[in-house]
Amino acid sequence: MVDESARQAMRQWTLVQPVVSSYVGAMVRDRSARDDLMQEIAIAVLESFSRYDPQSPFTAWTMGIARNHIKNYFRSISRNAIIFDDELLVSLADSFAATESQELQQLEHLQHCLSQLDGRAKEICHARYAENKSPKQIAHILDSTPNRISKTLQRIRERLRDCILLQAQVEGEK
Amino acid sequence: MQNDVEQLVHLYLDHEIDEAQFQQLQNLLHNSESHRTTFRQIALLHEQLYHTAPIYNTTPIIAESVKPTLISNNPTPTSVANQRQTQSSRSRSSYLLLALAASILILLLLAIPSRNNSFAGSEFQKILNANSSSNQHYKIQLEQTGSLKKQKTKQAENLRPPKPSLDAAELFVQGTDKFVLIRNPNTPLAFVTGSNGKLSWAVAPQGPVRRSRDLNHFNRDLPGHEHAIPLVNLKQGLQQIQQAYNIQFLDAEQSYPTASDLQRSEEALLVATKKRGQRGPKRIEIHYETTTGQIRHMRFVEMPYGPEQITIRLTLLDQTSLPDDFFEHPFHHSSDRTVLDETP
Repeated sequence: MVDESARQAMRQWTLVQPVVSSYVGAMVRDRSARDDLMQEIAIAVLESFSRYDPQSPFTAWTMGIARNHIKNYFRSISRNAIIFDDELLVSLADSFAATESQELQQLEHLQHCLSQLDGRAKEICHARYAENKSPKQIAHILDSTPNRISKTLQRIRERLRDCILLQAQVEGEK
Repeated sequence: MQNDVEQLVHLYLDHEIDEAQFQQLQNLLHNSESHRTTFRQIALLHEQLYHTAPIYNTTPIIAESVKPTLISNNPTPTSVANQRQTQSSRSRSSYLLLALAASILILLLLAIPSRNNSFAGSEFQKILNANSSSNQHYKIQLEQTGSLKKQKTKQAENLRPPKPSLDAAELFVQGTDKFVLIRNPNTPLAFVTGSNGKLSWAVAPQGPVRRSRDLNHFNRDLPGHEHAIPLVNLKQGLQQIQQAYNIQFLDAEQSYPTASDLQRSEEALLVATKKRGQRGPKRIEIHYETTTGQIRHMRFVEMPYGPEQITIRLTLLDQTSLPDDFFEHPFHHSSDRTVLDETP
């Protein structure tokens, strides 16, 4: 039997999970390490839910837990790795915690916008995100350069962003 | 300025940012809340793409076409069990069919391992032929590092000063015993170790150049030396993999769709998983071209390296010819450096 507190914790976690996941994914770019961290954070949130003060925002509280896990992870990896300093870890956590629900809702248009991409852009997008390939690996396969693939990915994301905003605007006008 | 931030965030998320650019990104993010908002917006989209792109149906470049063609040296119990189950259901109709099914099963059990072994043997030979004659120039990326769980504090390895990081190091290999490993390349802290096949040597950023007739004297800096997975001797390395690892070959061939500027590519993946009781990296992955056997990159997962356990990726950069004296230590330092001979 799941008690009411656990149910409440899971409900809250489900709501904030996309933001926490984005924050952790942006701080820890290694996807398998990020996945492990997300599991640890989810367990820590559920286990320590009894200590959560309902008067304070749940997102900020969860981001605090996520931040501590990321800091521990950073201590375990190479000093040469490209990682944000502690101060930025905190201020970016604050920024993610301030994400408005509208911003997340807009992302629901992503699937439609992906369908609008041309064939090559779709393939590069698929290689990057479904196959988790780096621009270097994609460049190798497509006989291109990492820099060119990276630029293409940037343009793809910008196009997707514009499309998402346009769709949100169209929906708002209905 | 806004464009700069956006570009840097994209480079960062795609692992294409260099140290100077990352420092610039950090400064920009420190100084402006609006830049942090930009970072968040791009990161939210980036994360969402990981969840949406896989379910959005499109033709993958490679990964989805990767399908096991041959499995480990031993046939898996499940596949044999499935065959057994299929055959036995058919056999209910007659004893003759049962006998036939049993015969087929026996044949399969006998044939599959030998076919796998012969396939593995030919693939190993192909890889060996393609990679052992020319110069190999690899870039090393350190994917993960951690401490070994059981450390013997008195081990000599632990008493040595920490090794310079392997991340971004470059490794040049020629033949079976010549190598040059450059850590911190293109920096004043470049630390070079190598061997010309007769002498091994180390050129630290400062102090005397050290050399020895013991070829193993300076190869402890080379990943894999601890457990006889010598990167500089592919033949020996592949033999060791065949003995101590379960081998799996994955076939990744994919015809690119209509786009004219996309190339066809054929790449296979050899996955070696360490057998119980053996020493060495937990897993070794070798990506190679199916037609030529040319290695494109190798990955060593959870490999003992001094007191640490690391996961590294070696990507082949080129096979261009090198100067004749490239594997000699004087090539890598000024002529006024003192040279110490440490031959035991």
